[in-house]
Amino acid sequence: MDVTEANFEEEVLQSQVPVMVDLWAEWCGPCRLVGPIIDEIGAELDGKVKAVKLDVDSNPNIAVKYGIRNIPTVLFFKNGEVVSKQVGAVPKSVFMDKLKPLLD
Amino acid sequence: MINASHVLLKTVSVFCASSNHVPATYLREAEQLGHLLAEEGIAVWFGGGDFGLMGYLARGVMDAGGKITGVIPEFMVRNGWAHPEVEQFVVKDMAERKRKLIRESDGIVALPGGAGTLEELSEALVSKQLGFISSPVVILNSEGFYDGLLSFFDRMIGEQFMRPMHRRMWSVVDHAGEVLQALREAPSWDTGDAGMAKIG
Repeated sequence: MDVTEANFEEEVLQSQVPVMVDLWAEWCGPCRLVGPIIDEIGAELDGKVKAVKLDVDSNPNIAVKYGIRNIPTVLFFKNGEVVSKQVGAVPKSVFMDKLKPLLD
Repeated sequence: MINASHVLLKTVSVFCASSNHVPATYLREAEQLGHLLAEEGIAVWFGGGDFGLMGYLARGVMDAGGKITGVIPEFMVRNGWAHPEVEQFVVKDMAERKRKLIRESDGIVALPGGAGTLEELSEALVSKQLGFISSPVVILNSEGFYDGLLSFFDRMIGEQFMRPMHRRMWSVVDHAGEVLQALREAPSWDTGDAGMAKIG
């Protein structure tokens, strides 16, 4: 699903399960490689993890708040806090490795 | 799949000349760059002058409805060199101006210019070499203006005053229309590479 500045608090910060937030933009080529992986992980771990996307051009304040300098960046949230981060287009296994410790 | 990412640009600093007497091509390129950055919603920082490439850059940004801010030393304001139509951030001296333009922006573009522009470009590259910044640095080589400097860099690397890896600190484009892509897709620069700055 897509999140925005309007529902970020509710969907990400107050989520009962860990959340992966994919920060992307339309002009960013490598972002197109990450989007489908995020969808796949979200579907596979439905109920255990929430996987969402945020367009940084439409929602610039979130990128500023979390000091995002490059995209794609995936932020991993647990209990409203950023606990891990992955910058760049990387294979699914890299995201899964970062996710595992959050599922305990 | 490679570990690739693109640079998110909120603010870009542009270094350029303040002379009105330079070839018109350079003035047009400055205006076009201002236009293109503004259209993307990127805030532009520059030296704050209203002459030469600076003036054309500012006009390009303003005509496209963008945001441009000058970073200008006090003495230049006193001399009446500040562009009257743009917001100005007044600093103490040239050193503070360079520091702000280089360290507080998300990307840097050097257009054709004189000793002042060369000084700014050089400090940007050194700041990157030492790991103070990781921002992309793009050299707009209009009409081959910077060919001589690029050859000089080659010699510095050839004679080991710099390392071959330092080439990744800058990107070169020929036209204003290519600048944005070069900024966004600049090779990543890990500030941890600073340890490599020392030539063994």
